[in-house]
Amino acid sequence: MSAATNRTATAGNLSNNGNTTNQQDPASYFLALARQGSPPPEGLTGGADEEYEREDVPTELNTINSSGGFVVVSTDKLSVKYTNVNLHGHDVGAVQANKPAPVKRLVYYFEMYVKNAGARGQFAIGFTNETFKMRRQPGWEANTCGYHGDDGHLYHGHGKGQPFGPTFTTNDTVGAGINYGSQEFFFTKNGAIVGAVKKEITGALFPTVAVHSQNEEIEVNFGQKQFAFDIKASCSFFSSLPCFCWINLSVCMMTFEYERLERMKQHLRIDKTPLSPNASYKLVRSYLLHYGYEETLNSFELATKNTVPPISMSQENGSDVQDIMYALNQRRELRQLIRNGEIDAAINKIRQWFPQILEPDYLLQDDKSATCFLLHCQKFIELVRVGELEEAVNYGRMELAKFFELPGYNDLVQDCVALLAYEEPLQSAVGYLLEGTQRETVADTVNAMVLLTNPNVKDLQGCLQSYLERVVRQLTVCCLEKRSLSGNQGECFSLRRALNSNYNAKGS
Amino acid sequence: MSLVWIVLRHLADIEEMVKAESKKVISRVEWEKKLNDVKIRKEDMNRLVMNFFVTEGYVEAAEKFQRESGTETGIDLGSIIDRMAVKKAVQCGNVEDAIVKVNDLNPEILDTNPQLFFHLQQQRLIELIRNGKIEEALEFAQEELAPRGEEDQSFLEELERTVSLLAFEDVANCPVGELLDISQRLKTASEVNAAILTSQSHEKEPKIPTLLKMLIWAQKELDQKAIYPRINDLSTATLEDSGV
Repeated sequence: MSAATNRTATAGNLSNNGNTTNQQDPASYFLALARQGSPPPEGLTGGADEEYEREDVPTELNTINSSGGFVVVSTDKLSVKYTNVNLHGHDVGAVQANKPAPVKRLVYYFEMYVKNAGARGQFAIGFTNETFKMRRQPGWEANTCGYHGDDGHLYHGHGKGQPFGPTFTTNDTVGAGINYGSQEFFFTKNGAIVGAVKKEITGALFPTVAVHSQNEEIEVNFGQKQFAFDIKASCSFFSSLPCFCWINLSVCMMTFEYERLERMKQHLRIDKTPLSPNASYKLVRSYLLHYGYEETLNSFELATKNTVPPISMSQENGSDVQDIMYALNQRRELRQLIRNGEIDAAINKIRQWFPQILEPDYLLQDDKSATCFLLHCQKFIELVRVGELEEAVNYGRMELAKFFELPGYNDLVQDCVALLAYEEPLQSAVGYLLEGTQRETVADTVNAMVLLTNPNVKDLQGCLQSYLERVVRQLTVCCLEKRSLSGNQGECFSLRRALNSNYNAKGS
Repeated sequence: MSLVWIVLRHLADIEEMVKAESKKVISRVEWEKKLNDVKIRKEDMNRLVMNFFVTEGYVEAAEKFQRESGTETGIDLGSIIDRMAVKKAVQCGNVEDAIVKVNDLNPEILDTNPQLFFHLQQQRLIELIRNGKIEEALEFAQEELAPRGEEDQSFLEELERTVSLLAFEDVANCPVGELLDISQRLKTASEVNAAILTSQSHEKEPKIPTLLKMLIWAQKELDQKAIYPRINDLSTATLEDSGV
């Protein structure tokens, strides 16, 4: 065996001591899940499921480091005017944005509108790094890039540029963007792409605009208004959407079309990957089995048997299936009761069928049952929902008070109790407790705990998460890791975004 | 000579070692922690499953799932029933019926999809040949399909392939015998299904297979930079250490 394989084998062995590496404690798993709906504290970066992961974005021009004396920035910090008379190449009035361009997305873009071409129309738009000297045009210095209005050239690190596109002047709107997927700078004029160049500059890049002759005046748009770009290009696309979609599109979706096309390109590449035809069916089936959606499962199995040709969904390893079919009917009934808010009935049935999951010490080190706790919380929430506040208080005193000091439990208890303080609890920060998702989490907890009562259960993780969910998690982590190993720029997989996107457009 | 061989092989080993060393090694424990840090919402998972039922056309399953999970279907179930009727008609060889249904659903579909329309007509021809209606088949080919063939070279080639079925006694074993196979019907049926979905601004494919392909692709890409636990069997989603 060669030295190479020997070495990597040892690395593998070190991390795999025994079967139960990093087993998740089901109690803390579901307690954390129960608070998933609560709004995150200010300033915290969200998980990978955020639409645009929380990063600071440019919102206005930076007046602190701009080349004072040559320019005047408006009070709203969105316009700049060259007030001097320019004499040479070191009195450019360049202004950067207040924050660098965010990187954890596919595309970043901003625009500049020329209000007045002034004496010589020597304005520019582009990106510069942190150490850029504000008295030079973007593009004239290393680690900067700029598209200049007077000659339509692109400057990319030297004083000599290359022919790139048209010149631009009064009433033109030009845009500059970074495509992290293709690692390119791209520029637009009046809604149409002018061109793109490879981006080799690394590190934080600030959107930059510059003016350089008397009375030149430009206005920037960091997304607070609609962009000129994409609207024209995507007219045909947007017009095919129903009206309400138009209004709902937030400003950051204005680069939607360009991004969508970029994603489509990537999508087409991935589409060629061979896939075993029934993998999806097996995953859907095991999902339904896992969560106890019995009626759906029966209907689905029947339909697939009747398709032409019939689709086989049985796992090669038969014993796997038996484990997940465990207590299917009872799990379905419990889920139904909890989804309808009938907590007392659910507790009674559990006492009848699986009393052990309500007992303290079930699979845990401490002396409380997380399942019991979550059911009690839900009952409390249901009482608040129907306005039985006095009964809720009594119930809380009886069943929830003892958890007030316990770490892991106290956050949820406090949120529940806080519900009593509001006239309109739904509008408050703890309003999430009244959503249907909360009942869903309790139902999922009970489901998992019941699965764990199966004496044949081999895989703890399998009881907490469906195979489909594991696939989604693996995909997310692979993308995150891939991104972090390649400069940490670009977008990552997001289930939300994948669900909301449509790679299909009319006329494409 | 053999010495050169030994040196070359060692160089190859060293290269492999260097490559392996330059890859980041992520332990099982570390990887599982990353997996657990991902936030997944149950309703998004449900939407994935509902999208599967709706796009593949499992109307009853979609209805039951809506009731059992509270997930919206996101599309008018009636349109799925219509679409499935068309698909089924083609799968059973009733192409004329399918064409009528498609036009009832949306006359623009066939108008804007010449390739689809040609494939449907081709399927009609195949069915005529299959049922031994030779004269009718020839007439149909000459009147309906030949004009299409003149418009487009690829159509003409397909037409010729189909008509050549008539030349053989033992159609099942001839070079173009696959046209008579049920897979040909299924192919056409899939094409119609996709065209209807597209016309409704719905995606042609459910998301789940796309996600699976993305996973295969993402793992392949990450393999170049890191050693980490992989999922090799998609249907059980078991993590396997890449120890070897």
